[in-house]
Amino acid sequence: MRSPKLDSTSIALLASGESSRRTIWQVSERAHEAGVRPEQLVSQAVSMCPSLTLLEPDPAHYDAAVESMLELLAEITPILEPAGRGRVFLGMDGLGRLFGSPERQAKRALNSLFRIFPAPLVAATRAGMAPGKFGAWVAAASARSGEPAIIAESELSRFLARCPVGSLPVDPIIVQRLERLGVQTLGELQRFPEPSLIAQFGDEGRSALAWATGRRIDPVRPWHRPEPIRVSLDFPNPVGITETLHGALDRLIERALSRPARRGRSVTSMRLGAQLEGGGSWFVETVLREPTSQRERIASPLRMKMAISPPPKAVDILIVELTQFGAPSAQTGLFDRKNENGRAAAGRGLAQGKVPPSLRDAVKELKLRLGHSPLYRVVEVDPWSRIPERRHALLSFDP
Amino acid sequence: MSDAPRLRPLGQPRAVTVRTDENGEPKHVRLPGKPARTVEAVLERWRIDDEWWRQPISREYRVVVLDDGRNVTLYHDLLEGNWYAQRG
Repeated sequence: MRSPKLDSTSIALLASGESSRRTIWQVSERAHEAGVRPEQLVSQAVSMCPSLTLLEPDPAHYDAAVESMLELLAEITPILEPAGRGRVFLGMDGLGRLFGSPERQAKRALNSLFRIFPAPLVAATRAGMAPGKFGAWVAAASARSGEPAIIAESELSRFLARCPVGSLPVDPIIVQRLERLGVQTLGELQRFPEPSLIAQFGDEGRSALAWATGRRIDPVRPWHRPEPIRVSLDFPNPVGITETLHGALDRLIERALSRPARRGRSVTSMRLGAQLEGGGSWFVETVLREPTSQRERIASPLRMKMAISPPPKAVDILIVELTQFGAPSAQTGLFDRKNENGRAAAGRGLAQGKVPPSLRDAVKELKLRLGHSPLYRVVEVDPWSRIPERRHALLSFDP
Repeated sequence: MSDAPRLRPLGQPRAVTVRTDENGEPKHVRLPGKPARTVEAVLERWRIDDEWWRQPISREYRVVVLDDGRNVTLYHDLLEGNWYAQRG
């Protein structure tokens, strides 16, 4: 859709990774008709469709598109719940007076997408409206592109009865067993007494029946999205050397941490991305076990992820995003009481020039925030002086 | 911001306003930013005369008790005539 000239060709997106046996991630409708399927090896896909155009995925672009879609839909309802790329649930309760009938509400949400997406993409979008997310998802899956399927509460059970058991949000093994037992639709499942399903499948059996009959309604859970802090570095020439990328990563993390928006918050998850030479993008994400605002603790897991899944091509622009935040700081003792046997012991260590790691870290953090170390050490200048102000002084403490 | 270690002396004297009686003893003291207090008692006193060879120092120290119960160390600079409070 970004390149209209590709509309009439068979396209497949490559799965991320660097291995020589790369596979297909997504395929266009035309490629699908030619027999190309996700997870096929590239060699298999090309043999199925010799005119296949292979493209590197551009996750940064897809995420930006999802972001703008969510911003747009938030104008219709504040209750939004994204469920992976390309799927979003909207809570439409109480919007009847504002937008009219359920059909009009669904159309309005769908039509709003024309403002940001090309018409063919919106026309291929499926929408469903029903009580609860499961009902809405099944309705959308059964809808025709561009024509929302509206299922009223009174019709939900009858509508679900026609759907295959494969649509149930339960363990796939249970679905397989149901199919082997000859239960193909939710209607057939609805006819089973609950005790026999519980006897066969345990709690999952009870759950499956509740979903199948429409008794279980799962509401849309409003999604809270903290504003990420994003910093980027534009290289004058594309960079493929790991050490250079590591250096750039350190600088970017320092810049992100020094942003005023980060003050008073620690970081719990972040993402490292890149715009690649010749198009395409790459990213890795990581969630920290403990919130931190120390550069090294943030950089280290990102470097590890980068080593496991390196950028497939040289990097034009490197991007760091701090995406989730935690409490201002993990409150730890400055003097490592547990390790150093209390403050007195640590104090002796300090006098001998030994600085506990936690104190060193705290000073680093304060320097990052304030630009200088605000801690001081009391030093003896002339302890036996008769003039009090000559006896002791504060020396800035910067281990 | 310079990276050189910074040294800040501790116990620097702070100028205070002192009203004395006819014998030159402190009667009322006003510490910076505080209301004036009456001196209830003088606990201790001593004198320092030092460094006559460069910049002479001549101070008369008193530890006084104020009417709010606080102990304050004051000195009278005998060369310039001002009063100071000092920790140390």
